[in-house]
Amino acid sequence: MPYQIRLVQFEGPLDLLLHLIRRDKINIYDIPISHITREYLVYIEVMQELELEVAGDFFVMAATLMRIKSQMLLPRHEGLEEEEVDPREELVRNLLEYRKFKEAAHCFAEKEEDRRRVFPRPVIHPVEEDASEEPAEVGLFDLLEALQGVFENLKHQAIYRVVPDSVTVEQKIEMIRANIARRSEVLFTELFNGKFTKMEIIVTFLALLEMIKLGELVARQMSHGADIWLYKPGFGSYIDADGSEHG
Amino acid sequence: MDQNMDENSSFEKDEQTIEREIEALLFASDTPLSAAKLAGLTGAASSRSILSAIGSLSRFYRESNRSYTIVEVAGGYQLITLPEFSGTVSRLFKGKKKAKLTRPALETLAIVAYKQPISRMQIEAIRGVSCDGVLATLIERELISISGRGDGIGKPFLYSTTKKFLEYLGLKDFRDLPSFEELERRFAMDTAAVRPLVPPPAVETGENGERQINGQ
Repeated sequence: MPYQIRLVQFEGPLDLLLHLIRRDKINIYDIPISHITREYLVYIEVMQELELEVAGDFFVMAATLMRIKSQMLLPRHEGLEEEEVDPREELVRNLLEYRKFKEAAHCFAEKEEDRRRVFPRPVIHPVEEDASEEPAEVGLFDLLEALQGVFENLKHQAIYRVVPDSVTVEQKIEMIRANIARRSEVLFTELFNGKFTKMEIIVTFLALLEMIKLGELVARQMSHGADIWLYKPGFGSYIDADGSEHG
Repeated sequence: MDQNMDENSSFEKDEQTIEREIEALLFASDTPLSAAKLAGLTGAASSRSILSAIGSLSRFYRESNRSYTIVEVAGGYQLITLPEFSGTVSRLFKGKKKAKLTRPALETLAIVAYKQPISRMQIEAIRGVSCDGVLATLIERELISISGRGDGIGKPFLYSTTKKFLEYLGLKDFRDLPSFEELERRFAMDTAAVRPLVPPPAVETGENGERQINGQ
């Protein structure tokens, strides 16, 4: 458990540094670099001892600290004083910048909390579309679902044993083609009207799929679960709908 | 307040009708509606008449002791339940509410909010750690989105906050974000109380936003 607490506490090397600065009441503008480096390394060691995976970023920072530390040890050239940049400058700038966002995150968390205490109206599930709207093309699963319905119906029908007609998919395609040529739109369930055997239903369905694949038919429905209509492509295609309705 | 509202047009709806229409729209909408949008939908003469209607509606809710109110958020108006019902309504949505953002996610979100548009590299430079996972989470929750590409090497994606971000934090607009000076002030206050080295183990304090009444 304490593992997690530590992990949460230090999101990264900057976070750890800020923690040390705060803990030891260090002036961020004048960081005693050897002290902070020592403390920082102690922490890394502890993290490793706890067999925490110490992210590479922590080691990069360790290297940076040691570089700054060595730069601080170099003798300063008296004459060039105004040219010289404090080796800590970049680090301090990063720390100050990061600190601002850390504080902002704090503030965001409070706002998040406040907002979670109030409830807006939930996301709306649109009501049944208007009949004048364009029906959407259906996919294989909608068709299978519709087929399920046909089988359901079959169960409720009295079963007559008949000698199976060996209807082929090709023959069925011809029949549907003739049907659709006559009327230009057909209800999915109409194809299965009559006393069909299970095999015949399947053959009809396969014929239907084949025709959709060949682009001879388009299946559309107004909404999920609604009646599926089959159209000749270009017919009843609602694209330049002038309020034409069906059913 | 706006007595001369209907002198321009004889078709002008009366204030009460507009007020009720606004109420219906706010009730039905799942996103905040701007004054301009409300004006468009109701056919009200101006955004000003919308504002006065909203003012009068919220006053009415307050005075009649309703459990909801209208807030200004993400550039629009929205009906929300009052904070005091947080406990009750939370129970309704138990287990369905999305988790709070983690600390790294909040930090990253803050950086994007103040520095947008910003690349992943720039965010990582500020945080000093890799941000891949957090950015994915924020995108998935639709709080930030890719808003363009930078000029740097490989034309990196640039991220910006979304409208949903404002709504998520209940902010009116970007001016509603705390300024950096304000953040500095808050920081100074925080530092005054030095936190313990290792915080006590996270024990559920049972403060799910419910006010605990000390029945003594």
